[in-house]
Amino acid sequence: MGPLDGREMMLAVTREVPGAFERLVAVYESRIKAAVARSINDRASVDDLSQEVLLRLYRARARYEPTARFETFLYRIIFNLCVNHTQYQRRRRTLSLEQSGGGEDDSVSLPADPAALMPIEDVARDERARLVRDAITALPENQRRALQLSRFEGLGYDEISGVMDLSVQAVKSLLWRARENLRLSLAAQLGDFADE
Amino acid sequence: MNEHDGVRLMSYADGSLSPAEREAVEAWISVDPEARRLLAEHRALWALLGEADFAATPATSEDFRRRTLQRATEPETAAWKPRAIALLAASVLVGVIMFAWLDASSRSTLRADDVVVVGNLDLLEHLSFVDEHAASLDESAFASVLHEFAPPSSRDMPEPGAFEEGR
Repeated sequence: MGPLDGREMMLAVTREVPGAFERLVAVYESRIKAAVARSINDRASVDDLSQEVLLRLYRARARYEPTARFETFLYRIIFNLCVNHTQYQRRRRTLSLEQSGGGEDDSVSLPADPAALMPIEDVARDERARLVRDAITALPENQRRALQLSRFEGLGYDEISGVMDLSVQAVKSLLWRARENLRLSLAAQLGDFADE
Repeated sequence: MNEHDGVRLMSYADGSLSPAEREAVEAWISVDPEARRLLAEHRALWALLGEADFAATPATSEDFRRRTLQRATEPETAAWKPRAIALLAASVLVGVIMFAWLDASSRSTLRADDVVVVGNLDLLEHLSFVDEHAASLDESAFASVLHEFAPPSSRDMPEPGAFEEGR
């Protein structure tokens, strides 16, 4: 067993081993926050949702069965919480727009990069990264989540299928369509990137 | 390129094919320049995404860990209890309102039997009066009472004593 094996850590939490949950929080805090931050546009809620993910893990300890990879179990909780949060935010925004009689979209966008005085190559890279993020954000929700789990969380197709409750074939199809949408929307950036 | 071939190339690039499938794709791309171009494009796109990961190094904090551990040790019922109580109170309120509504609607609607009773209420009251005082009334007073309190439709009945005269 490796010292950072998620399944073993979760089993220790299940067995109420002293300090086990503390260790799990310390090891997974960064990864959970990153996954939550990639999943929602509302940056102010990242800490609260990440904490909720860890609390749900803790409360689910009695039900945890180490049959699947711990990451599948973890990302399923993250995925469900973030979907619920996004839907709640969307409903609230719709209600707010209805009450104010329309107006500008007040959705929280990705934060502006604070590094204003950076070398020109970094500026170009930063601008490209912003365009890529915008393209990812513009994807249909299922494609974006499948892409996130595949490219940023490092999950395999079968694990993504477990997290999203889809067949492996459906996951592949979602990823392919996400890839095609990104290829079209990032054609210019892709050319620049290949030229470097 | 159709989706089927695209998915094969993508799966190859992601390293998720079986050895036999991998060999088949390698044989395909060795003879198809378009497949090679798409594979290169796919890898470039994935690399571009990697560069744009906007949450690669989120801040960790001791305060976050302390708060999380503190909340985890709170009684687990705390989170659902207020919601359960509110739900129970709402259910009771709905039940009371439903009961009141059903009760009111049943009282405001007369059944066919009730209509008959109400229609003959006067007569029933008079019969009750006659019953109570039967012992103290002589025959003519008895007939007079009946005539006095009979519904209008029965006022054409013969006068008291008519039966006797006809005998």
